[in-house]
Amino acid sequence: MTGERPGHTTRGLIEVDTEACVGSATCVGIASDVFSIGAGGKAVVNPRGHLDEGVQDVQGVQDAIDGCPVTAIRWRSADPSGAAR
Amino acid sequence: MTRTDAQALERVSLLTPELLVDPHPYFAELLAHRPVLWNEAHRAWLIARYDDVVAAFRSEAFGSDRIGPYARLRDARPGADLERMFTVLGKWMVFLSPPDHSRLRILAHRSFTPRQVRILKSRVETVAAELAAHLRARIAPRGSSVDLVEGFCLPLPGRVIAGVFGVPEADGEMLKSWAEELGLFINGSAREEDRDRRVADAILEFEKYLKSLIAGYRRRPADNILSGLVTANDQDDALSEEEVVATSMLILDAGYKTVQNALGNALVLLLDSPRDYQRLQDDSDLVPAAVEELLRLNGPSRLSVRRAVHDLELGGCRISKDSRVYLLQAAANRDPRRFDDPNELRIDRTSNSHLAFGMGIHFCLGAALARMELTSALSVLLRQLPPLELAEPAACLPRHRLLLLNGLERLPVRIARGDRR
Repeated sequence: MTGERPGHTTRGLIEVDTEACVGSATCVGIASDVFSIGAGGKAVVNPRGHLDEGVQDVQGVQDAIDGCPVTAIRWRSADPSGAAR
Repeated sequence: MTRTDAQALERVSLLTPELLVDPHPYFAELLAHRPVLWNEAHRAWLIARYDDVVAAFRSEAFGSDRIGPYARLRDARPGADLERMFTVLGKWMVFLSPPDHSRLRILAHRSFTPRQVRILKSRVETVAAELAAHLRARIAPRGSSVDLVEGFCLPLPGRVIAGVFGVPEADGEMLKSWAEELGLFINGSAREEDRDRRVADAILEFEKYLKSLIAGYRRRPADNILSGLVTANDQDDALSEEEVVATSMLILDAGYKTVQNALGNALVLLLDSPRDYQRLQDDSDLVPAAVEELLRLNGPSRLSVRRAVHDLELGGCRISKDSRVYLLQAAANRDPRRFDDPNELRIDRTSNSHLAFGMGIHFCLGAALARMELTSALSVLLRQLPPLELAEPAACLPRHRLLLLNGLERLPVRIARGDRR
């Protein structure tokens, strides 16, 4: 977890804007291997859910990014599929 | 605060005419002195402070099933024949908990993603422009006044949601009247003698109507929300036909009502603040932040109802299992612990994490759509119409007599005096 911006948590290639996150758990419903709701009521990336540790649910992450009702999730890299391989 | 004052707070009904116009002096008392209060008039706990409301929204200890407990209460009475109403309403995802809630929500969310919403923006702008042009013609003669609720706030979301959802626009009036009837129960009107009967009748008719549309889309699928739900029902058996009907009613009801009232509530604040009105007319880039501020100060959702799943403690009060709890979003949105100068309209306020759409797993499914509709519709209206002013004082405007839904029955306006454009 390096280079975090204030109000954001990052793990691997995924960044969650914790100020914007409303804890709707839409991402958890879409990609439960990758996301869960943390103790603070906000989305977190599971310890083994991020893409540079072998979990490769790229489509799930993309759907969660597209489905988030407050656009609080994004890739840190412009080329997730390439980086995940 | 004296003991008598505290007792007086417990007996205040939120449905009195003065509080329907302005509940904030009462909410300010709660925020300052009684942030968790048993209210005898409503037989419910009132939760006022921002942090407590957020915690309750996020906690599984506050369940959202309003139907089961009420159905058990009603069924215990002789002559109650409301089974179908409770069966259908009991499948609305807003009243469900995981895992059923999560399954329905994930199926429905695809139609409301920010990407889907961007696709709809031009449709909203087109409808808003048509309505605004019509208003412009009607308001032009000096001294004429028009009702913005009837001429703009009400028809706009109806025409948008009808197309997206897959109901013929011509059926709008019918859907509106069912939504009104349903709202008596869903949004908490005073319980008059025939209220539940009227709601039950509306639900039966609404259900029949939806089932005939469902049969049509089953034969000829189309690119709309209802057809998508029917496909999910048929292909994966992901939801039952009863759930398709219930989810459709919920989406249509919310799609009509919330944006309509949010628009009227936003406009009345702006019309009461000519300087801000002018700033937004001059610079539409300010509109998105202004929409958030208007939702904070005067959102359509006054409160959300929850029920204690088990005995619990909050703010030093012991809330026993099955107690009704009102999460006062309208109070929390003006909590001075969270917002500087909470009663002040600041259209450029930043970090505006208001609770107008709720929080947690029941966070408004249509929030992105509502935000876009409000921003686009207000921008178009401000651009196309000359500066307006209220034709009656804001405090005199008639409000809905509903506990949950904050909104105006009418919003009469005219061209601002002194305008030479």
